[in-house]
Amino acid sequence: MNREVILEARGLTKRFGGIVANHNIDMKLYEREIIAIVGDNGAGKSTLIKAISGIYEPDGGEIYIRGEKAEIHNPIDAKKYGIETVYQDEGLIRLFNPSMNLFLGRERLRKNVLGKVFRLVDYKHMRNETEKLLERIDIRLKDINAEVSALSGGQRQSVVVGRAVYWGSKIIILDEPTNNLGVKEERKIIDLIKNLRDKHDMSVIVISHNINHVFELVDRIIVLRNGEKVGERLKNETNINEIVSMITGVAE
Amino acid sequence: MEEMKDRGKAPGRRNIDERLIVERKVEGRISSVFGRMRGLSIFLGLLVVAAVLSVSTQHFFTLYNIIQIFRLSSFVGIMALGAVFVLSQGDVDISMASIYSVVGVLAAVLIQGGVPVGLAVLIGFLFGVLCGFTNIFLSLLFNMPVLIITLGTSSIFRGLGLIISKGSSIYEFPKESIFFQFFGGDIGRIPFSIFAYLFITFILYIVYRHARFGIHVRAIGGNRRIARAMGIKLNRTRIFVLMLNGALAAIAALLNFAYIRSAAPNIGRGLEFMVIASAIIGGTSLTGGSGSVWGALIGALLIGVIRNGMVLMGIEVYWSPVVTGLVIIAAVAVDYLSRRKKNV
Repeated sequence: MNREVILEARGLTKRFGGIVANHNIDMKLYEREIIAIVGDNGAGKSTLIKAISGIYEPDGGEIYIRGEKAEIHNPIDAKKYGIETVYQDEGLIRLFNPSMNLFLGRERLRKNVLGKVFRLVDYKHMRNETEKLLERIDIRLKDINAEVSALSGGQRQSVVVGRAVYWGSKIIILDEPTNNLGVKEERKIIDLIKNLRDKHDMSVIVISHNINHVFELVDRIIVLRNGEKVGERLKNETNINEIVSMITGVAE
Repeated sequence: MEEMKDRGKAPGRRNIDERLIVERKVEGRISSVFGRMRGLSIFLGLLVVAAVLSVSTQHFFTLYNIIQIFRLSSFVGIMALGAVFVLSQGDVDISMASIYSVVGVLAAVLIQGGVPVGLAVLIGFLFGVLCGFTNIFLSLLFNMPVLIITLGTSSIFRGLGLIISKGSSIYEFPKESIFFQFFGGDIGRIPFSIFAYLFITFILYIVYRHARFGIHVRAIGGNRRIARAMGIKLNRTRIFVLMLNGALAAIAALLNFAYIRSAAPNIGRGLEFMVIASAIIGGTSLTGGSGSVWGALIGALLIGVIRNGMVLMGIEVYWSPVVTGLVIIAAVAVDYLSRRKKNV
């Protein structure tokens, strides 16, 4: 495979007091790939993710983006490298509509004097862009002007994902994306994630404890247990039993 | 989403869920009626109260009285605009009545001491802005909520006014200046302060709804953590809002000073609650994230109408705080009920 390595972690280690949450973890993420990081509670999945997204600074190890060493000391640094993390439907201002959320912090000013002098925003432009984006990612909303609190959890999550797509993220991390969703919405988010890889050229890291969804969705699975990486398998070369036994540490 | 609960449960369990669903629907109906009709309902409420008073008293529905109501509401109303921004940001500032008193006193003392009127007014205005800045500065410095800080600064600012004025009213100074004639006078039959109030309301409405700054204020109030994560400059926005609040209190004070041509360290005691109540009646949420600038105007007018009406109906003036307090509680209750449905 001559695909580029988009993200690489070498020897990542993170301690909290006496507890070693991540110990010497190596992992690679290729371009246009979906991987899952799985493991039991406390295995170190979210610690690893937080190190990549700049919330924690690792005690040891390095992160490389496209072969170059990355200096990620906070979430804003991570964003600069194109890394976005989506925690289900968090990340939105509930009383704002989808287009205001899409442009949150990056609102477009009007082109005329009203924009340049008085800093008035161009709602029309933001709304048009939002409509186009929602079409791109195949999400249908009844009322694009409604507050996102009126949307379902799955739709809100799609808006957050859509925001990452719109602003050009290359690496997207999804924390338990299929939790708390109805059956139809699970379908939609799984399709959306696959489109991130196929249509939008992104690389995706999924954290999930739902093994069935993992097998449906990803190309490769990384298993953590007690802070260590205990294994890595291509989806096609393994099965649920093997993964589960790696997670629990109990051989069949 | 309620359908999901029915998946394969024992019959007893299903009854409980159904009851919850019905309860939720009734709650939702009450809340959404309040929520959807909020903007319209406060305006209607104002009209209803005005209509009742017009019928039951002789003097309510006269031009002179209406103008008086508007003029008196304009001082509270201008400060209520500041409250809209502060509350929308998720902060609470209760010192604006104190800023109101000290700015008036400061300007008066300066004029009495020979300072040109224009300069005295400017200094007073800047002092109000400085008070606002002090509030947020101390809040950031000690990492305490603005509410707590302003518990202290409201005493401090008013205390400064007492010191400057030596506790007494100040009215002995030359009043020929154009400041008093123009800003404290009428244009046609309408007091200048009403024009100023409407103009300021209009400008701040545009800022609140259409300026990037207004959006950031509401975002910070909606979810501070996410606003920060998306790169919104928290400190810069909060500082500006609190300074704006101080400026508006100063403007109200100076307009009042121009009109009554005197200043006293004790004016405006208790005004902060009417100011915040006006904002809440008008639809600004106490918890932040949403509000209405024009609504605050309706709210200020409503309070003004009620107080005026009580006087005209001969109700003892001692009842005024009681009634005002009841209106405040009703407004907060309606605000709470209308937000419960949305879980915000």
